[in-house]
Amino acid sequence: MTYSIIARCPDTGNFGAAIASCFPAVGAHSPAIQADVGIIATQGWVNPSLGGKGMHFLRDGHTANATLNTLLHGDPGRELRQLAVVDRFGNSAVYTGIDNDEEKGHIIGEHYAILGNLLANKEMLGAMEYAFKNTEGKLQDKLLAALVKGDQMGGDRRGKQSAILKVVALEGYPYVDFRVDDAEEPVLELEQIYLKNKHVLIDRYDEWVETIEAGIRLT
Amino acid sequence: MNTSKTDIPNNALYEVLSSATSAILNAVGQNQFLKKILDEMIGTIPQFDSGFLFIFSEKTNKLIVKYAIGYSEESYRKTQLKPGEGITGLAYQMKEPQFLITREAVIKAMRTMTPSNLSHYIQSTIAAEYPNQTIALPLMDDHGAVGVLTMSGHDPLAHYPEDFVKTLQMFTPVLTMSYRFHLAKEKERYLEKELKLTTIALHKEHEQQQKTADLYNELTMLSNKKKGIAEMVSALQTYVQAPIVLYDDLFNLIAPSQSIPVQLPPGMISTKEVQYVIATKKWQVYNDKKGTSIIIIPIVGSDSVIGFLLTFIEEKEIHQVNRMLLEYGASLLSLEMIKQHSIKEAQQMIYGELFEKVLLGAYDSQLDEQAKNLGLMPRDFYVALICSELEKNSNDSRYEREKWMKWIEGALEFHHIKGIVTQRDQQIIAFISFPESGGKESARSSLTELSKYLSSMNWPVFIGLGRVYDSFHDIPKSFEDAEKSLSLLRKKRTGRVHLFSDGGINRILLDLERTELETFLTDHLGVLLTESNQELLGTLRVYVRNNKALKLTTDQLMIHQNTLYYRLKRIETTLGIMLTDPEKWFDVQLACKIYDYLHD
Repeated sequence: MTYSIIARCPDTGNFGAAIASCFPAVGAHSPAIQADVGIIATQGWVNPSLGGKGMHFLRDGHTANATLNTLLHGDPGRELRQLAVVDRFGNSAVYTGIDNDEEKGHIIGEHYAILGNLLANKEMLGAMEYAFKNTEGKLQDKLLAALVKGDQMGGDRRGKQSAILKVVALEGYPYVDFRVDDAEEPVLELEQIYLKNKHVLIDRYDEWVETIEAGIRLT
Repeated sequence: MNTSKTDIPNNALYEVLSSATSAILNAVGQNQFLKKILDEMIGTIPQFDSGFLFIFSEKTNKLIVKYAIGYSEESYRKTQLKPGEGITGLAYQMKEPQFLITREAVIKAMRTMTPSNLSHYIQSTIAAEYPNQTIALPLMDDHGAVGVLTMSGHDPLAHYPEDFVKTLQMFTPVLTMSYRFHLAKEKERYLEKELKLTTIALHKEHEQQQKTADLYNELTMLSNKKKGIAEMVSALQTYVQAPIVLYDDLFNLIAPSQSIPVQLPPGMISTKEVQYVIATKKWQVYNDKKGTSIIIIPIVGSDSVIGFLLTFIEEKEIHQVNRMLLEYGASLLSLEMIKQHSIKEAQQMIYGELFEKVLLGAYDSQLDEQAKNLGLMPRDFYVALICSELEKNSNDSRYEREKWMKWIEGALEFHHIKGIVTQRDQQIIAFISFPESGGKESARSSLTELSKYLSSMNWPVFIGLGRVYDSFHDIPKSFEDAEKSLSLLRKKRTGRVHLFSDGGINRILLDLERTELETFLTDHLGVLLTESNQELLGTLRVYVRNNKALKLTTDQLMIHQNTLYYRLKRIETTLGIMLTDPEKWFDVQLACKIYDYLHD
């Protein structure tokens, strides 16, 4: 009941995700991100603990593939899940369990992965990929463009309820982290929230971090 | 704070700055590098007692204080100057040194700073609020400015050499270069760390790929050489640290045939994990109560699960199992099992057709030709063999019968005897041939040897062997013999292998109807068969079995000789015969044999 894109920016090393679901507060469950380490998204019959467990393996230098396999190994409900990992090297790995509802599928790309289940159609994954690859701007702009495209293509076939756009740059300093937990048009609302507020901290993120570290106000 | 009042002479400035920059260059890559720049420069020029090292941040477009001497860190760290702001900002913006030699000039320049930055500056000062001299020296080279070195003196009487600024400026490209070099070193350190991680990850991936390729090569080589499933499982075992076992779809053991590491829990096939594996054709983990995890990987045939590859491991070590290799190995085993199954099926189909035609006696030229192609020459000597289960439905499975087939094939091969073996219903049947050139006696002798060998193996099956016949067309007769041998084995249960030619009187009895035999019994043993005469009947049977030997009979019956005489007299009276009459004695002997045959 969810579609997602997770990615790593090859220029900055930032990790981020854009997710939408016909489920309340999808952002509470996914993704798990750690700066300079990796990103893990879990959906389907979600097992949110996989994010934290997987981060442990990514921190130890395991690749996305090895991490994914290790996580699946220990999860008896693996066939109910969709699990995606992107590591610090830009490798991506996804598993779509056979017990996820149709339409389901995933795309693996360099530095990104796109996945979904209960989709209105399977073509939307390819459309999301196209939007991600052909949108200019920062990682969050590309992720959001992909999510909006997925929404336009029909999204979750059961409906819409929540969405999240999250990008992590530095550990401990939230960068992009916007969520819509329950709305009729969560993706469009998420886009509006992002565009309206990105100038507050996102566009001046580095200045903000500097001022925080210096102990002064951001003016 | 440096409090030296000794001004540096003009001619010595170059030398001391050379020495300072050498020390700075030596500190490149060290944690205290930025501190070293300021320490060396202020330590070298006695007129200065305090200063800041600003580095320009391209992310925030501001000059950030990285280190300071003579100021309180808590306050100076808050200073962030825009280009053009204050003396330092101006020097950065103009890309020119700013040297102010009066307190008034310094104060005036500083007031161009934002109120917050000026406040941070004032709060950070330790000695006096404003210095008497300040120089802001842009750290720049051909690639641009990286920051500003700002140094101040609080001695109003301090003198500076004539070419002071010019001389200092000569060293700024070296300082800038050393800073850039330091950044490169830091980046190198970071990249080295990343490279190390990448190398480890790459090595792991490579190892996995290499193992996978090795496994593929080894298993396909074994398959090509027709080494069989057991050797393939054995080879797979060398790649996996935990014990593995291959089972068929009913959890009958396939390989390894020797030691089984762990007993399967009863009703394994009914567990939800196995049922899930069958339904999804995907692996699952079964955790038993003793802390052992069993990874169940399906062996998938053309359209269903045809077996299970099980790996036994301590629950806490489960992550150490290379499941990818197991899955890959299972795929290769699956291909081999499908291949073997197909070959066997095709062969069995040919054998099956041939066997059916032969047993039905449907001989024609085509059948003869087919037999010749399989090495069965028309004029050779032939024997039929039937191998059957001990009990109905005990351990009955496809793999059980395949095992029996292998035993029979192995025994024929061991004795250099030609034959074809196949499954027919629940039995294994073999047509065994002996060359015409060897003669019939030689064929019988070989058959006897084979029979002894089969008996010595004590396999948990019944094996019936027919007689030697003169041609391919007589196989059905030998087959009938073999069936009778099996019947005798089932009836008598005194052995597991029976050669029909060793059957004695029993093989004749086999041909007679039971009612006829029972009539014969009634005619000759009569009332001895009733419940009340069981003691006399028992005595007679032992007496017959011992061929009238009195001592043996009394010993076996544990009775006195007189008792035996008494009982024999009663038997004669009851049956109305004399046991000394040879003809009657033979009838009684035969009747006792029939009694044993019918009642054993």
